[in-house]
Amino acid sequence: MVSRAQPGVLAGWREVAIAPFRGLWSLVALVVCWDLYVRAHGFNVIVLPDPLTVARALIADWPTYMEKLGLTMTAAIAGLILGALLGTIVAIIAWSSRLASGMVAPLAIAVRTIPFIVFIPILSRLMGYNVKMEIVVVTMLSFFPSFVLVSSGLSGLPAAASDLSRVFGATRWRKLVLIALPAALPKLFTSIRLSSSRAVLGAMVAEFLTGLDGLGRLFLLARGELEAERALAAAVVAAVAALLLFHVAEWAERRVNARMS
Amino acid sequence: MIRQAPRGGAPLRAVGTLLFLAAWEAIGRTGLWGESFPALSTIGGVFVNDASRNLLLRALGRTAESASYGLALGAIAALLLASASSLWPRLRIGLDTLATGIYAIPTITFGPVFILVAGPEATPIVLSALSAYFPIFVALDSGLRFAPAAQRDLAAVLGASRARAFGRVDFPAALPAFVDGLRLAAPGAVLGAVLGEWFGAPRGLGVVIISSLQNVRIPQLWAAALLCVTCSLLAYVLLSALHRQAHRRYAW
Amino acid sequence: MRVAGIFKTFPLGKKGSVRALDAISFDMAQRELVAVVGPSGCGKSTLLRIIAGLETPDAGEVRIGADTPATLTARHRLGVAFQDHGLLPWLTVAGNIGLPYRLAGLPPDPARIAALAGMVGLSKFLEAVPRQLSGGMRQRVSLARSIALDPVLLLLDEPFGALDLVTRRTLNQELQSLWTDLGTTTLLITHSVEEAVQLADRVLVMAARPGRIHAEFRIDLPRPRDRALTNSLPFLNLVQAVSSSLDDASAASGEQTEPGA
Ligand SMILES: Nc1ncnc2c1ncn2[C@@H]1O[C@H](COP(=O)(O)OP(=O)(O)OP(=O)(O)O)[C@@H](O)[C@H]1O
Ligand SMILES: [Mg+2]
Repeated sequence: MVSRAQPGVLAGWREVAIAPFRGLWSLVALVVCWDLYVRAHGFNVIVLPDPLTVARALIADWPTYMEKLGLTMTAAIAGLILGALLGTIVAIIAWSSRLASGMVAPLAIAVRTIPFIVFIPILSRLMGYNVKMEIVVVTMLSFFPSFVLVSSGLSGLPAAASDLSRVFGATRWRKLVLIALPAALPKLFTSIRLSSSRAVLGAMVAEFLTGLDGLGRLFLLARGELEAERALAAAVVAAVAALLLFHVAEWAERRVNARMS
Repeated sequence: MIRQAPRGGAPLRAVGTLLFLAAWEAIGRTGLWGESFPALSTIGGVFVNDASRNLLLRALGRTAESASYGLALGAIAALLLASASSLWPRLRIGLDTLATGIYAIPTITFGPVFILVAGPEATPIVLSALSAYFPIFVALDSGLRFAPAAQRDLAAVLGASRARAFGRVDFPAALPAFVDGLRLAAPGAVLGAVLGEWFGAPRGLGVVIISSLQNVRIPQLWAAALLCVTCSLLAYVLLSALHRQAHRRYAW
Repeated sequence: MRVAGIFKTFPLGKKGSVRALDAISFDMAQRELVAVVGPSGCGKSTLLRIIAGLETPDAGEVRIGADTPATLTARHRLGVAFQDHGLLPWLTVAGNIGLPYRLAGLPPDPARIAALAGMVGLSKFLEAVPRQLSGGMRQRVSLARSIALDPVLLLLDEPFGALDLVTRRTLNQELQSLWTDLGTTTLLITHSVEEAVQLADRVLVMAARPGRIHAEFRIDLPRPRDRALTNSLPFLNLVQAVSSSLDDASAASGEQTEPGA
């Protein structure tokens, strides 16, 4: 995607609003395929409802969906931010000591290989079925990418920048605050973008598995009562919200990148 | 995506890992975090019992199978999408949106659709493919985009058609990137399979996790989760080896 | 300032090594501007990095009055401008010029920063960020930054290296008065013999492998050295002499590496 040089705030908002729709034809095609598929097989609505039925279900109970969406997104965004902060803090600790950085190095492999979501049932056992657990789940999911990317940003500081802080007699702390952290900021925002969809996924899976209130639970109930159109409506709401979150994160990342380089 | 490992030598890394495992064992033994956090040795003990070992290993086989099919399916989808946007650049924006969109949408929301369409048996495979294809698509797409220009020019000068140039030049050049994508996608494939099993598949590690949770069989719950981790670690290691091979043969 | 018997050898590959500096000794009087010229790779940057305390010599010592490089940087009284200007992309011109204050933990003084920007002719660009500046403007920011803390010793590594000849001449003309007003002891590394002769009180010619001082020229031309002077015969003669000495130095330079040294 082409990023325009230094978008103003207004242009930026236009990008947030338009970017998701620029290649919309493919998503429209997807919906059309779904509709054609349902028609071709002559499914009845209990098996697989067509898009229009889902849309009707969505509009009929709009406030409920929005309320549940609010719960889910609150947990997802809170966890996303907490995880990013925690990842940054641990990355700073690792950066400030060679010993610590060597010891936490295996985490970099962990983030690439461990499907953390499979631990949600265990976390729910450990912490009980409550919103705190849901936020901790999302925090855990976003912690690892932030830690790894911020770490690589901090230690990948150009040699020239390090020299600068040395010749002007900066302490390690001032070097961190004035040079290393700002230089690593774009990486932090990249990690937030990469984690954004996992955050919504984590929150919904936690709700789905434990019956905590939110879109995931709506899903669970609709499925139990064979209301396929309600389950699908919840899915559509979650999908649109997750897409928007992703695009906001992407826009923020672009702005930070334009500002910091 | 994430390439750069933090600094520090192998010994420190080993010490870090050992400390982590020791802390785990100690917390479990002392019951510091309650009985939901068993010691590693207790979890290992699950495998001593024949019945539970067989249960776990059969479930592992099932999940690994779904994940493999899912990875293969995801790879094919990624291949088609990336080839299409390479051959017909006009489609690119839309296909990009589709690929990113499906990535940005939580996999769980596709669950009910596929339970309905594909049935509970196939859902793990489909969800696995859905969470696996994105890293492959991204890697392949950038690999195809950065195929060596000189080679492509040569193909053009020799009068090769666009399709032939793609087959002879672009694609082999993108092969290492493709395998790299496979490697990064492996954990996602395992995760997708487990998610699919949570939606009501009859067998697999996901099923064991849920039933252990309901029957409060804590060590078995942990064992199943750790098997998921092992499975994706193994896939990652194997595909990394393949990646090195591909890189040696096809890298420029 | 006194540089006494500096040796520095870098390992190269498995067995080889580069004798980057071999018995470098020279003195600098207060307020003196010494220029160093030499073929590429003769160890000029290494010498500067040692004097700045960024690299430790194998043998020898650097004294700046009673200070060592380490104590001088701890007192924040060293000024350095690097070969690649090394501005922080996310700071404005004012921010970059004021950076040494913040790195040293001193409160930045806006009036002083504005004055520094004025000295290098960038008064109108205080709020611009580096990406909005031309190459020459960036070099000037880097220069202003290097003198921000009123250094005891100023080290300049090819501050105009990336510039074309015309811009370079203009800058040299503009900055001459600044130089004499400032009166800081300065070590200037440059590729341009003309620049060295025009700006310096003394020119050192280095030869490579091992890096050593090949010749020394005292420049007793009157100041300011304007266009008229740089077109005059005495100036051209000196340039000629230094140039031919530089040619000798290049011819006398040894092999790239010395196996097993
Ligand atoms: N960190 C290092 N490690 C190994 N060798 C080095 C290092 N720094 C410099 N050298 C070697 O020391 C020699 C002198 O390098 P230096 O950068 O001081 O040259 P220079 O005179 O500044 O060259 P130029 O005019 O091109 O900037 C070179 O042969 C270089 O290979
Ligand atoms: Mg140099």
